[in-house]
Amino acid sequence: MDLEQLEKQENNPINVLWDDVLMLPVIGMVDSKRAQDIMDIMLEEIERTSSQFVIMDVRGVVVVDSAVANHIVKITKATSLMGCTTIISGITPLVAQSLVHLGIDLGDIVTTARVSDAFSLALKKLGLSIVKNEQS
Amino acid sequence: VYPIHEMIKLVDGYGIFSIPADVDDATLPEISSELCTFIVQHNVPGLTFDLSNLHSVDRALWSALIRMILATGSLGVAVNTTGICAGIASTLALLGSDPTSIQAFGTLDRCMTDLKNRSKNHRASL
Repeated sequence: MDLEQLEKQENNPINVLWDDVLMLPVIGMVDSKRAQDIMDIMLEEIERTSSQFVIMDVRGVVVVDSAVANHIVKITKATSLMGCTTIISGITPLVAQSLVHLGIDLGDIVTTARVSDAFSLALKKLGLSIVKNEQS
Repeated sequence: VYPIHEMIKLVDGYGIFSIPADVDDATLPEISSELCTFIVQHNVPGLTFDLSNLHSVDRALWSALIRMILATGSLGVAVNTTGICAGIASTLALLGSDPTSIQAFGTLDRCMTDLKNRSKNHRASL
């Protein structure tokens, strides 16, 4: 593995959250280069694991403007071509309002405020649920 | 005439059509025509397009593939795709391709399960 690839992976750590569910927290700025790196990492991992869902948490993204939204749409389209649904989590009230004010249409992309909601949604779609152990 | 019989595999009556690696946009319309004829003749209820042999596409080839998929779907057949590699997905996203016209799955098993469910529902609604 070359240094560039290693750096790409370190900046965009994608993890298997559950069988068929991946998660990628995005922190910092997202420019075209970073968006391409994120897409590459995600697609490679989807290809490797055949996962059905990927949660992209954007809570740590400094600015979510129309450019970032367009990157998100592109990434989502690419994952869907591989049979994987992207759920965007970490949409703060401020980001939600600015997306509306900017007139950005995220189309059919599923968005949630919290990662836990995104995870629950993915599990539900997979026909799974988390139940509390009665003994505890 | 393309040997469609050799390119399509029937599993429980459902078709799996493997797109050849050397396919190009000029030959696809003819393949598409042969494929549609095959589907009607054999009363195939659902078809999976397996794109795993393809390692790259350009805009023209992808358009031709989409036209073939849409033509097949217009026969009232449940259609989905599998085997799109990371490189192709990335290229298509950058080209601004709209993936809503196709239903993609990560594995062939999921494709076949979806086909069977959809064609069952379709028949139930008739």
